[in-house]
Amino acid sequence: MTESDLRPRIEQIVSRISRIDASEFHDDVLIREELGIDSLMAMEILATCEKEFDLQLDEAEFSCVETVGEFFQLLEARYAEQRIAG
Amino acid sequence: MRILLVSPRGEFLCRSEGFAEFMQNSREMRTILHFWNGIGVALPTIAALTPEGHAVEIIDENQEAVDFDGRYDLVGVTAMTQQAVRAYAIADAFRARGVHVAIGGIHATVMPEEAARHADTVFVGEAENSWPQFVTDLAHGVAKPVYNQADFPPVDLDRTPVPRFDLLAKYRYPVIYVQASRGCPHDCEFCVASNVYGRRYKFRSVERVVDDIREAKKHWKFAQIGFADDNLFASRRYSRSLVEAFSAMRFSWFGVCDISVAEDEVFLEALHESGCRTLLVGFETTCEENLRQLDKNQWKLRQFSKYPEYVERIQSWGIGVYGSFILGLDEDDHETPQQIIDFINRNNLMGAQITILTPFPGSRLRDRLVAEGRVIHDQWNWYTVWNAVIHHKNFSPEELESKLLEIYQGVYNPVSNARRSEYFGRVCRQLVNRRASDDERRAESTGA
Repeated sequence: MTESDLRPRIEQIVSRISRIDASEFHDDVLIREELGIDSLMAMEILATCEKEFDLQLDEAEFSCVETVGEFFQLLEARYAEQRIAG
Repeated sequence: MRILLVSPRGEFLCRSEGFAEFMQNSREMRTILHFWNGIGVALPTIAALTPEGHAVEIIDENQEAVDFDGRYDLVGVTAMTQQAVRAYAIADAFRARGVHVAIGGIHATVMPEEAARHADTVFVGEAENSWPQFVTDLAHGVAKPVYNQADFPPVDLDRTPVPRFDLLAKYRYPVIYVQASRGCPHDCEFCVASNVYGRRYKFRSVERVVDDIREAKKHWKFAQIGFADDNLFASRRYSRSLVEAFSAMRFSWFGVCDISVAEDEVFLEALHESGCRTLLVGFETTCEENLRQLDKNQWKLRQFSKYPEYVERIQSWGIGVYGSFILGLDEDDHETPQQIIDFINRNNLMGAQITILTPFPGSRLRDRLVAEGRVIHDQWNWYTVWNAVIHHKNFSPEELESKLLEIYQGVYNPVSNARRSEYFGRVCRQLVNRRASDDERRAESTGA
């Protein structure tokens, strides 16, 4: 799977857990204030992404993420690192 | 007629400067306040109950200032006790301009004579049946000074129309409250609602609740849905139908319930699948003797030893437990604050709301504390539950307030927050693994 294949799969996970339609995930949308994704939902999203993509994610790193775009970038970066390392 | 409905602003949250500063500077507290910020369902419901032919506007004073020079024929104000002082100021200002003012809500219901000093009409009890009658009466110039639910047939929640959320769509709320049921089977001494609305349950049909949520989501597509019910899962059969309906919808939600929800693991799974993310549970105290005195039925006392196991079970389904505790119960002493902190931290509660025992008018608690000469004053704007308005045998009022701050600091500090975050990270990973195994098992059993 390439990084470009990743986004739709992450969107699917976020959509399932947050119960928000994936069409709402625009890069500049604020994750907490606009989408209303709280910390527990975020942790479930991270845990699901870890399992699905075999990643190690740091919750503290996520706490610095503000927008949907930043979240996807973070996951894509971790995924790329994992592929290089693996 | 032009009708304005007002939800008065809360005067302040607490008088302790240290506490206010902590609230301001704690990221966790700010987040909690953000997600719990919303308006009750009362005014949009009243707006929906208004007979046709009248123009209705709603102002939430926490969001927008009231225009006292606006041209209204009727102003309706609702208030909880801590909003009463502001509600009366609004009422007085409009009456001085010759506008007919009606006051309702829980405070007017239990203090009708006081409210009558500031209003032309007072609503006692639920207003679903009396409000339409009142509006018609007023339009004909025959409005009465008091409309009491006791003089009307019992309220049928199913006959209440979908709330006029469109009138609040001008505000950005992170949470929209709806109501599925009314009443609570428990009989806690401090509670006003069970005294006013009774312990018998009233339900809104699942279909109507779904309609309410759909209407709310039309105006706030990302808002969480909060249930204003005192005890959402008191009837498990009804709750199951509700949750089943929610599973087919797309929203996340939270509600208030008692700890018995943990007894049904299948229901917990269904709750999570339906988008339930947080449950507010009233633990009230970590002291058995307090519990014995609090609830005449002793129900909470019987659950006491199961609290840790039940919290763990609920949270293992990715549903955070937000515990509610009271400081200042009769048996509390100087060890109590640390015991509350330990309980919350040891059981990894997702969050906690700790309040100071407050003798709200209309509660059995108030009757007792007044008889014991322990109520300090009736300045309602101090009745925010974060100020001490009672005398306690082991704490001065100032100590109660400083101990309250100590508890919050003991719960929301970098060390506890990190531990809580680590715990929930673990819980979520276990949940994801468990669901993956379940999926595999199901696939194997169906031969897929």
